[in-house]
Amino acid sequence: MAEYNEVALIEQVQQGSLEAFNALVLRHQNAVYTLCYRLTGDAARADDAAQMAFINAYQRFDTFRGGSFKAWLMRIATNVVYDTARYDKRRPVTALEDLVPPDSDDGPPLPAPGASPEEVLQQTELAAAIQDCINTLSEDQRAVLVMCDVEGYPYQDIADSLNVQIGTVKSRLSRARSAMRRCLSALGELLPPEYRLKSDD
Amino acid sequence: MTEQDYELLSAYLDGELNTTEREALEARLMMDSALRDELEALRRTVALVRALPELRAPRNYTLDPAVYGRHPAAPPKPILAFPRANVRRLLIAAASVMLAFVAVVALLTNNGLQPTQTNQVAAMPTLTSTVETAIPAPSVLGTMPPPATKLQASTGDALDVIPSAAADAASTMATESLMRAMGQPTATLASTLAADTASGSAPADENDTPSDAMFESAIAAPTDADVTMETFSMEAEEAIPAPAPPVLTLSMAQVVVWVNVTLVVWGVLRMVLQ
Repeated sequence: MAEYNEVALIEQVQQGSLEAFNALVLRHQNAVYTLCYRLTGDAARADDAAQMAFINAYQRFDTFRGGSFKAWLMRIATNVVYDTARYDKRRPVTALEDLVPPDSDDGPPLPAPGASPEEVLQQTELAAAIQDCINTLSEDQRAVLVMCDVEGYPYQDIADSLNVQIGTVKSRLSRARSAMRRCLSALGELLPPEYRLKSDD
Repeated sequence: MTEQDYELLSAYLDGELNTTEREALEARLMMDSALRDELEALRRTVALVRALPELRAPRNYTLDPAVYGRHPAAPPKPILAFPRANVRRLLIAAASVMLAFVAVVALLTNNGLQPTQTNQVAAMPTLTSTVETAIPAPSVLGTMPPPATKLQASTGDALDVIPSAAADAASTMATESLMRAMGQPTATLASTLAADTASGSAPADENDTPSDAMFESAIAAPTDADVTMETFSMEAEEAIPAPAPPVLTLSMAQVVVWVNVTLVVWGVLRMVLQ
């Protein structure tokens, strides 16, 4: 297998190579899909958003000004998710999948391979529980929480991405974490001992 | 725990507090065990979210070469393409020279109107002053002959009349006023002459006495002033246009119009030639 050289691939894409761009897609698609899933909490919407993010990235590749390619890609994915959410809010529709009985659900997406089956099972249950807590947050709080705690962006980058003041990021993140703390404290035994939280009440 | 405390603890975990805020919070944490517990709970919550695993994408998101084969970042072919860049530059330079020529012609044409307007303005007060000089005299003297007769008489008796004190005063004042007027802008000439003419007739009124000799001199005084004023008026008509300097004046509207025209032509040229 050829060695992955991101800088060389980016230069090739800038010269018009779709093959090089597809190599970058294969490298980052799990991260992009994960971000979309954390933000939407829905596998189908995350799938659509991830595909749209790569299409947008390819079409706007001339706006990439160097730096971290992954961060640039993640920002595009975040914008796609929120543009789609705004569009859906204006035109609410019921998807065919929503009419299917819940027992036919495929369940949450699997983590990337590398863990033992027990760990995968535990991670899957725990991750699903945490994702459920994330889904209870408001859209604004969820965006800030995912960008900061899942993606690890600094406050200033989050403020720039969401077009808000840095003080707004601070307060939204504080409220989001506070809500997550209350939600996770109810999970009890599902949490590993070192992560168990005492309930507020 | 207030909402502000949560905000401080949250930012503290991310290292986003400034030095003052951080030191103040650390001092509180040393003394407040409840605050420390809250910080620990928040730390665990954040660690759980950060520990979320990366998911596996349900499919590959690679783009199909049949659909996205040509990179959209490649610049589109221009509609009107000139073979050489220097041809483009030449055409742009020619267009700029043409624009500059048109602008200069327009400026000169505009400037050429200026002296004509000045002449018209200068001629008007001269006529007015002559009329105003002739009219007040009969109203003061009452029995004075009509202006035509007065002018004829004054021409013939000019040497006899000049020694009179009233005539001296009138002519001196008229001369001074004209000298002042010559040094003033053209537009003020009419008012200056009119004012001086009125004041020039005043000494004649003051010197008006019942005696015949004085009466005759009083009649002659304003008449002579009329002649003097007419003479000076004629001189003023000839003198004013000659020294008028060529002034390049552009109104704001003209400047705006020309700037706009230049920008529009430049934009059209760029659009066509790119």
